[in-house]
Amino acid sequence: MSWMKKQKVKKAALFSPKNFVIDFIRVTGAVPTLLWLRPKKKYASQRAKEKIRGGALIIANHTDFLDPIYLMAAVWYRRHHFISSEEIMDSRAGGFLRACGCIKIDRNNVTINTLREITDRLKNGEVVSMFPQGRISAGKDEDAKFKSGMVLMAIRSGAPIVPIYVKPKKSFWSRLNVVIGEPVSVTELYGERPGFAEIDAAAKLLYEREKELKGLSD
Amino acid sequence: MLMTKPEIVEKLKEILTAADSGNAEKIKAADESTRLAEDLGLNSVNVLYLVIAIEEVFKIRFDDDTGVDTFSTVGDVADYIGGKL
Repeated sequence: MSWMKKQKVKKAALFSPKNFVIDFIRVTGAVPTLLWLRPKKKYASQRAKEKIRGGALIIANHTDFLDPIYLMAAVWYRRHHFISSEEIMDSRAGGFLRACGCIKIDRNNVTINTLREITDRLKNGEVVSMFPQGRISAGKDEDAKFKSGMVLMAIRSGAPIVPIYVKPKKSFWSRLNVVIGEPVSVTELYGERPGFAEIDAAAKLLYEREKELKGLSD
Repeated sequence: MLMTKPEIVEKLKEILTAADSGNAEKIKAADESTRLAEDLGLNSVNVLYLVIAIEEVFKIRFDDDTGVDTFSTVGDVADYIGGKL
Protein backbone atom coordinates (compact mmCIF):
# COMPACT_ATOMS: atom_id res chain seq x y z
CA MET A 1 0.00 0.00 0.00
CA SER A 2 1.90 3.00 -1.26
CA TRP A 3 -0.16 5.47 0.81
CA MET A 4 1.92 4.40 3.78
CA LYS A 5 5.20 5.47 2.20
CA LYS A 6 7.04 8.30 3.83
CA GLN A 7 6.40 11.57 2.04
CA LYS A 8 9.07 14.14 1.43
CA VAL A 9 8.09 17.17 3.49
CA LYS A 10 8.54 20.66 2.15
CA LYS A 11 8.70 24.14 3.61
CA ALA A 12 5.46 26.00 4.31
CA ALA A 13 4.78 29.15 2.29
CA LEU A 14 6.37 32.15 4.02
CA PHE A 15 3.44 34.36 3.12
CA SER A 16 -0.04 33.55 1.91
CA PRO A 17 -3.18 35.75 2.02
CA LYS A 18 -4.95 32.76 3.60
CA ASN A 19 -2.67 33.10 6.60
CA PHE A 20 -3.05 36.88 6.95
CA VAL A 21 -5.03 36.80 10.22
CA ILE A 22 -2.81 34.31 12.00
CA ASP A 23 0.36 36.02 10.78
CA PHE A 24 -0.99 39.41 11.90
CA ILE A 25 -1.70 37.98 15.37
CA ARG A 26 1.71 36.36 15.54
CA VAL A 27 3.52 39.57 14.62
CA THR A 28 1.53 41.98 16.77
CA GLY A 29 1.05 39.60 19.67
CA ALA A 30 4.59 38.26 19.90
CA VAL A 31 6.10 40.88 22.21
CA PRO A 32 3.20 41.19 24.72
CA THR A 33 2.76 37.41 24.82
CA LEU A 34 6.43 36.71 25.37
CA LEU A 35 6.57 39.41 28.08
CA TRP A 36 3.52 37.88 29.76
CA LEU A 37 4.59 34.24 29.55
CA ARG A 38 8.41 34.56 29.63
CA PRO A 39 8.60 30.93 28.37
CA LYS A 40 11.18 28.72 30.02
CA LYS A 41 11.99 25.84 27.74
CA LYS A 42 13.62 22.52 28.56
CA TYR A 43 14.55 19.91 26.02
CA ALA A 44 14.44 16.13 26.35
CA SER A 45 17.73 15.77 24.46
CA GLN A 46 20.17 17.53 22.18
CA ARG A 47 18.12 16.40 19.17
CA ALA A 48 14.97 17.96 20.64
CA LYS A 49 16.77 21.34 20.57
CA GLU A 50 16.83 21.35 16.79
CA LYS A 51 14.27 23.68 15.27
CA ILE A 52 11.16 22.07 13.82
CA ARG A 53 11.40 22.34 10.05
CA GLY A 54 8.92 21.26 7.42
CA GLY A 55 5.65 19.50 8.15
CA ALA A 56 5.24 18.34 11.73
CA LEU A 57 2.46 17.30 14.04
CA ILE A 58 2.88 18.90 17.45
CA ILE A 59 1.05 17.19 20.29
CA ALA A 60 0.69 18.33 23.87
CA ASN A 61 -1.16 17.72 27.10
CA HIS A 62 -4.27 19.86 27.55
CA THR A 63 -5.01 21.28 30.97
CA ASP A 64 -5.95 24.87 30.15
CA PHE A 65 -8.04 26.54 27.46
CA LEU A 66 -5.05 28.84 26.83
CA ASP A 67 -2.83 25.91 25.85
CA PRO A 68 -2.88 26.85 22.14
CA ILE A 69 -1.34 30.24 23.05
CA TYR A 70 1.26 28.49 25.22
CA LEU A 71 2.20 26.18 22.36
CA MET A 72 2.48 29.12 19.98
CA ALA A 73 4.81 30.82 22.48
CA ALA A 74 6.86 27.63 22.91
CA VAL A 75 7.34 27.12 19.17
CA TRP A 76 7.03 30.78 18.19
CA TYR A 77 8.94 30.49 14.91
CA ARG A 78 6.29 28.29 13.24
CA ARG A 79 2.70 28.98 12.20
CA HIS A 80 0.39 26.53 14.00
CA HIS A 81 -2.84 25.10 12.61
CA PHE A 82 -4.79 23.79 15.58
CA ILE A 83 -7.24 20.94 15.34
CA SER A 84 -10.34 22.18 17.10
CA SER A 85 -13.56 20.46 18.08
CA GLU A 86 -16.82 21.05 16.25
CA GLU A 87 -18.42 22.59 19.35
CA ILE A 88 -15.80 25.35 19.49
CA MET A 89 -15.65 25.88 15.73
CA ASP A 90 -19.45 26.21 15.54
CA SER A 91 -19.53 28.73 18.39
CA ARG A 92 -19.32 32.53 18.03
CA ALA A 93 -15.54 32.29 17.95
CA GLY A 94 -15.69 29.90 14.97
CA GLY A 95 -15.21 32.51 12.24
CA PHE A 96 -12.17 33.95 13.97
CA LEU A 97 -10.67 30.51 14.59
CA ARG A 98 -11.21 29.51 10.94
CA ALA A 99 -9.42 32.71 9.88
CA CYS A 100 -6.61 31.66 12.21
CA GLY A 101 -6.24 28.42 10.26
CA CYS A 102 -7.84 26.09 12.79
CA ILE A 103 -9.10 22.78 11.43
CA LYS A 104 -12.55 21.64 12.49
CA ILE A 105 -12.96 18.05 13.64
CA ASP A 106 -16.16 16.26 14.58
CA ARG A 107 -14.92 14.08 17.43
CA ASN A 108 -17.95 11.79 17.26
CA ASN A 109 -17.81 11.21 13.51
CA VAL A 110 -14.42 12.09 12.03
CA THR A 111 -14.72 12.44 8.26
CA ILE A 112 -12.25 11.51 5.57
CA ASN A 113 -12.26 15.16 4.50
CA THR A 114 -10.86 16.26 7.87
CA LEU A 115 -8.10 13.68 7.59
CA ARG A 116 -7.34 14.85 4.04
CA GLU A 117 -7.14 18.49 5.14
CA ILE A 118 -4.73 17.67 7.97
CA THR A 119 -2.47 15.45 5.86
CA ASP A 120 -2.45 18.00 3.00
CA ARG A 121 -1.26 20.70 5.37
CA LEU A 122 1.44 18.43 6.77
CA LYS A 123 2.57 17.43 3.28
CA ASN A 124 2.73 21.14 2.38
CA GLY A 125 5.29 21.63 5.13
CA GLU A 126 2.96 23.20 7.68
CA VAL A 127 2.69 22.58 11.41
CA VAL A 128 -0.52 21.06 12.70
CA SER A 129 -0.94 21.15 16.48
CA MET A 130 -3.34 19.08 18.50
CA PHE A 131 -4.19 17.77 21.92
CA PRO A 132 -4.51 13.99 21.59
CA GLN A 133 -6.40 13.63 24.87
CA GLY A 134 -9.25 15.18 22.91
CA ARG A 135 -10.40 17.60 25.59
CA ILE A 136 -9.16 19.60 28.55
CA SER A 137 -7.84 16.99 30.95
CA ALA A 138 -6.99 18.65 34.23
CA GLY A 139 -6.84 17.41 37.83
CA LYS A 140 -7.61 13.69 38.14
CA ASP A 141 -7.98 13.49 34.35
CA GLU A 142 -4.55 14.99 33.69
CA ASP A 143 -3.09 11.64 32.67
CA ALA A 144 -5.96 10.68 30.32
CA LYS A 145 -4.81 8.36 27.52
CA PHE A 146 -4.02 9.62 24.04
CA LYS A 147 -6.34 8.86 21.13
CA SER A 148 -4.57 7.23 18.20
CA GLY A 149 -5.88 9.41 15.35
CA MET A 150 -2.66 11.46 15.35
CA VAL A 151 -0.70 8.33 14.39
CA LEU A 152 -2.84 7.82 11.28
CA MET A 153 -2.22 11.46 10.29
CA ALA A 154 1.53 11.00 10.73
CA ILE A 155 1.60 7.78 8.70
CA ARG A 156 -0.47 9.24 5.89
CA SER A 157 1.67 12.40 5.65
CA GLY A 158 5.08 11.02 6.64
CA ALA A 159 5.43 13.96 9.06
CA PRO A 160 7.11 13.48 12.45
CA ILE A 161 5.22 13.91 15.71
CA VAL A 162 6.77 16.30 18.23
CA PRO A 163 5.57 15.80 21.82
CA ILE A 164 5.54 18.84 24.09
CA TYR A 165 4.63 19.01 27.75
CA VAL A 166 3.09 22.26 28.98
CA LYS A 167 3.36 22.54 32.74
CA PRO A 168 0.08 23.85 34.19
CA LYS A 169 0.60 27.47 35.24
CA LYS A 170 0.08 28.31 38.93
CA SER A 171 -1.37 31.72 38.18
CA PHE A 172 -2.15 33.89 35.18
CA TRP A 173 1.08 35.86 35.63
CA SER A 174 3.43 32.98 36.41
CA ARG A 175 6.08 31.94 33.89
CA LEU A 176 5.35 29.35 31.26
CA ASN A 177 7.33 26.12 31.56
CA VAL A 178 7.43 23.72 28.65
CA VAL A 179 9.44 20.62 27.85
CA ILE A 180 10.04 19.84 24.19
CA GLY A 181 10.62 16.23 23.19
CA GLU A 182 12.41 14.59 20.29
CA PRO A 183 10.46 14.20 17.06
CA VAL A 184 9.04 10.71 16.61
CA SER A 185 8.79 9.23 13.12
CA VAL A 186 6.09 6.56 13.20
CA THR A 187 7.09 5.12 9.81
CA GLU A 188 10.72 4.73 10.94
CA LEU A 189 9.63 2.96 14.12
CA TYR A 190 6.84 0.77 12.84
CA GLY A 191 7.51 0.50 9.12
CA GLU A 192 5.58 1.79 6.17
CA ARG A 193 2.66 -0.60 6.62
CA PRO A 194 1.78 -0.59 10.30
CA GLY A 195 -1.38 -2.43 11.32
CA PHE A 196 -3.92 -1.59 14.00
CA ALA A 197 -1.72 -3.03 16.77
CA GLU A 198 1.25 -0.89 15.71
CA ILE A 199 -0.92 2.24 15.55
CA ASP A 200 -2.07 1.61 19.12
CA ALA A 201 1.54 0.91 20.16
CA ALA A 202 2.68 4.22 18.62
CA ALA A 203 -0.04 6.12 20.52
CA LYS A 204 1.05 4.39 23.73
CA LEU A 205 4.72 5.22 23.05
CA LEU A 206 3.88 8.90 22.54
CA TYR A 207 1.88 8.86 25.77
CA GLU A 208 4.89 7.42 27.59
CA ARG A 209 7.16 10.06 26.01
CA GLU A 210 4.76 12.75 27.24
CA LYS A 211 4.97 11.30 30.77
CA GLU A 212 8.77 11.39 30.55
CA LEU A 213 8.59 15.07 29.52
CA LYS A 214 6.32 15.72 32.49
CA GLY A 215 8.99 14.16 34.72
CA LEU A 216 11.59 16.51 33.25
CA SER A 217 9.43 19.57 33.97
CA ASP A 218 9.99 19.37 37.75
CA MET B 1 -12.96 -2.72 -12.86
CA LEU B 2 -16.14 -4.71 -12.37
CA MET B 3 -16.37 -6.84 -9.28
CA THR B 4 -19.21 -8.76 -7.74
CA LYS B 5 -20.22 -8.04 -4.16
CA PRO B 6 -18.74 -11.32 -2.81
CA GLU B 7 -15.44 -10.48 -4.55
CA ILE B 8 -15.42 -7.03 -2.94
CA VAL B 9 -16.15 -8.58 0.47
CA GLU B 10 -13.24 -11.02 0.03
CA LYS B 11 -10.91 -8.15 -0.92
CA LEU B 12 -12.09 -6.20 2.12
CA LYS B 13 -11.33 -9.19 4.32
CA GLU B 14 -7.81 -9.32 2.84
CA ILE B 15 -7.27 -5.64 3.72
CA LEU B 16 -8.61 -6.19 7.23
CA THR B 17 -6.48 -9.30 7.80
CA ALA B 18 -3.33 -7.43 6.72
CA ALA B 19 -4.17 -4.62 9.14
CA ASP B 20 -5.40 -6.69 12.05
CA SER B 21 -3.66 -10.07 11.90
CA GLY B 22 -4.48 -10.77 15.56
CA ASN B 23 -8.15 -10.86 14.63
CA ALA B 24 -7.73 -13.11 11.57
CA GLU B 25 -10.22 -15.79 12.70
CA LYS B 26 -13.07 -13.32 13.19
CA ILE B 27 -12.29 -11.63 9.87
CA LYS B 28 -12.19 -14.96 8.05
CA ALA B 29 -15.64 -15.82 9.36
CA ALA B 30 -17.05 -12.39 8.47
CA ASP B 31 -19.78 -11.91 5.88
CA GLU B 32 -21.85 -9.02 4.59
CA SER B 33 -23.87 -8.77 7.78
CA THR B 34 -20.83 -8.61 10.07
CA ARG B 35 -20.82 -5.36 12.00
CA LEU B 36 -17.59 -3.36 11.91
CA ALA B 37 -17.64 -2.05 15.47
CA GLU B 38 -19.57 -4.65 17.42
CA ASP B 39 -18.36 -7.85 15.72
CA LEU B 40 -14.90 -6.92 14.43
CA GLY B 41 -14.10 -4.44 17.20
CA LEU B 42 -13.08 -1.62 14.86
CA ASN B 43 -12.80 1.82 16.43
CA SER B 44 -13.04 5.17 14.62
CA VAL B 45 -9.33 5.23 13.73
CA ASN B 46 -9.53 1.67 12.38
CA VAL B 47 -12.45 2.65 10.14
CA LEU B 48 -10.54 5.67 8.77
CA TYR B 49 -7.54 3.40 8.16
CA LEU B 50 -9.84 1.04 6.27
CA VAL B 51 -11.22 3.91 4.16
CA ILE B 52 -7.71 5.04 3.17
CA ALA B 53 -6.62 1.49 2.35
CA ILE B 54 -9.77 0.92 0.26
CA GLU B 55 -9.08 4.09 -1.73
CA GLU B 56 -5.62 2.76 -2.53
CA VAL B 57 -6.58 -0.80 -3.33
CA PHE B 58 -9.81 -0.16 -5.27
CA LYS B 59 -8.59 3.11 -6.84
CA ILE B 60 -11.71 5.00 -5.74
CA ARG B 61 -12.23 8.24 -3.84
CA PHE B 62 -14.65 8.38 -0.95
CA ASP B 63 -16.99 11.37 -0.71
CA ASP B 64 -15.68 14.15 1.54
CA ASP B 65 -18.44 13.67 4.10
CA THR B 66 -17.70 9.97 4.58
CA GLY B 67 -17.28 9.56 8.31
CA VAL B 68 -16.62 6.78 10.74
CA ASP B 69 -20.38 6.43 11.25
CA THR B 70 -21.18 6.09 7.53
CA PHE B 71 -20.83 2.32 7.53
CA SER B 72 -22.05 -0.14 10.09
CA THR B 73 -21.52 -3.50 8.35
CA VAL B 74 -19.08 -5.08 5.91
CA GLY B 75 -21.97 -5.19 3.39
CA ASP B 76 -22.45 -1.39 3.67
CA VAL B 77 -18.80 -0.86 2.74
CA ALA B 78 -19.03 -3.36 -0.13
CA ASP B 79 -22.16 -1.65 -1.49
CA TYR B 80 -20.46 1.74 -1.36
CA ILE B 81 -17.36 0.42 -3.16
CA GLY B 82 -19.57 -1.33 -5.74
CA GLY B 83 -21.31 1.98 -6.44
CA LYS B 84 -17.98 3.70 -7.05
CA LEU B 85 -16.40 1.07 -9.31
